[in-house]
Amino acid sequence: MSSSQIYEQHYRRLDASIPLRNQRWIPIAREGLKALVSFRAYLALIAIASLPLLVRLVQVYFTTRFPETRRIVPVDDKFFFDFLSQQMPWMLLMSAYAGAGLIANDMRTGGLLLYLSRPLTLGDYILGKVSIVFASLSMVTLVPGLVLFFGARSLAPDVLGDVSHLLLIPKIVAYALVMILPATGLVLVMSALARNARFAGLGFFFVFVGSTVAAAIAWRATRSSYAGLISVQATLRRAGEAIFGVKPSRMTAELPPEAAFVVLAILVIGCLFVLKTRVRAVEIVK
Amino acid sequence: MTETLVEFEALTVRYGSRVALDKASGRFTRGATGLLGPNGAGKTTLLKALLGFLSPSGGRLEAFGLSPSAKPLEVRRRIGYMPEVDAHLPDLTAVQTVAFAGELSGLPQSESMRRAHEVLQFVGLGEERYRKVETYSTGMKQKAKLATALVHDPEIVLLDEPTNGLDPAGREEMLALIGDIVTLRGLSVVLCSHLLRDVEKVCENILVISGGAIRTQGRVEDLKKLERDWYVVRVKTDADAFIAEVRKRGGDAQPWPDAWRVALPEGASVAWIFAAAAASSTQIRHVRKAEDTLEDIFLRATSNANAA
Repeated sequence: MSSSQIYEQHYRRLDASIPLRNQRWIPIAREGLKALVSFRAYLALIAIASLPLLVRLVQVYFTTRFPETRRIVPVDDKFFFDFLSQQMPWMLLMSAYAGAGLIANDMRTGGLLLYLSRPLTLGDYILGKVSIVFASLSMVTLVPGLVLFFGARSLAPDVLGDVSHLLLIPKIVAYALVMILPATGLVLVMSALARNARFAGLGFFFVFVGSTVAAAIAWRATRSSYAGLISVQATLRRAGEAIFGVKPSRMTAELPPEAAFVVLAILVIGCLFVLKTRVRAVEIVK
Repeated sequence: MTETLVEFEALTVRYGSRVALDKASGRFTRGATGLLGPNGAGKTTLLKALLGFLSPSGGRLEAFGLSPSAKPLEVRRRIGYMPEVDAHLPDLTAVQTVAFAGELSGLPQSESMRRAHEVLQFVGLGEERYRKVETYSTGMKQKAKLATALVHDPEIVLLDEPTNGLDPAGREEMLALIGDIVTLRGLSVVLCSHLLRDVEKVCENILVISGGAIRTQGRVEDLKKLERDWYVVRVKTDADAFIAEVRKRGGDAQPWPDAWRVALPEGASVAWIFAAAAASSTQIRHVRKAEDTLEDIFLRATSNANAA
């Protein structure tokens, strides 16, 4: 059988050489998000995570109709801080759903080699994956936060119409970033360490829940105000309280905000370091 | 002279304290080159270094005049790599995987999709291109990997054990495809394998690697040529008398499976063999001109390495 006659009709050489792309991470991010959007569960998660936003908007609407309710639920910095903090469980779920398999699956199927044998740097690959998680987490934190602000501002211009209230925008962005970046780093590290997406997801939850339990144990043992820094959740919350300037809760009252920011920065840098050392093409090639 | 695409000289690559490539020197020219070697010889390490995954600890390695460790992106842009292991993306169809690989190599999205269809037709997966790669058989996965390696039209394609796990028909088809890539499309290929027959069928040049060093290299045709005129001779009766006569007359003889390999003295013709047989009262059953096979070349090269 001569295969040449059939194949002759197809494959041709390119006339020009392909230039190196500048934003090499973009196709990775786009394909990853396209794949996620094709899953109904992903869209359902975003939809369900948006329900608190609707509830908050209804609250704002009620404050415009019944001004006396503003004393019970004031639409102020704390209102937005509480909303974003309440989005944290959704953010954790979304992290595990969108991020746990991103690197683990590539390692399992050899896809990592498909990426790294192309004109891509390790940084491009990691940035592409980070973008996928970042965009997904933004859909349950940053985007609803901003929608809430603009929605509330248009519903209650007498409450939020002042120019000074525009300062809430950078606060919302900053707190959302403070929540998103460590979660993104952690879930990708778990994904790089486990070759199975489920284990990576479980590991991610274990770190969040386990760190809070560990912080409680450490506090009982040492009574040190710094013990809370072991808890990722408490540290995130303390950073948020500092950003919005709200009174710390009982759980975080003793935590110095500067220390919380330092811990979160170290966490993000540490995650990047682990990703850089763990994601390597040579481990796949045999 | 044939154009050199990849050249390495005294190349040393280490994994910690273990030396994987030990001052290896050689080159890949335009056309098909077979990289032959036993398991653990350093074949894949050479490919890893060529793709810029590993930095040499000594020596020089250049692809298209560029150092892969200094300019990995420039080098990888011009290389297609078909790994030995599975390499697909979960939940993507073949056409999506190949198009995505093209985009990662720098092709625009629409052009990449067009070429994905073309190369999948070329490798014979035209009808199956909308199926997820993880549902493919081994042979189809190999073809999908080949398509992925070809989509951006590289100058050289590195094929790491491309016929692994294939049945005889699949193996023939894969080798025919690789042959087409070289002869009809003008691409250069490095076929990394431990299967001599595959290499012999496709490649005009070979490099034999063993113990981390290149043991022999050159055109298969040249390497098969023997320094002296050798004949494979099978005799019916007393071979010892015949061999003694051959040696007495200035020839040489070596044992050969079910026969002897006889070297003629300078200027002698095949009639010299019959004269020696007549003188030793031996009946000849079979005579043919001897030529080294690729297996001979490989065994000689690797046994020299073991002896060293």
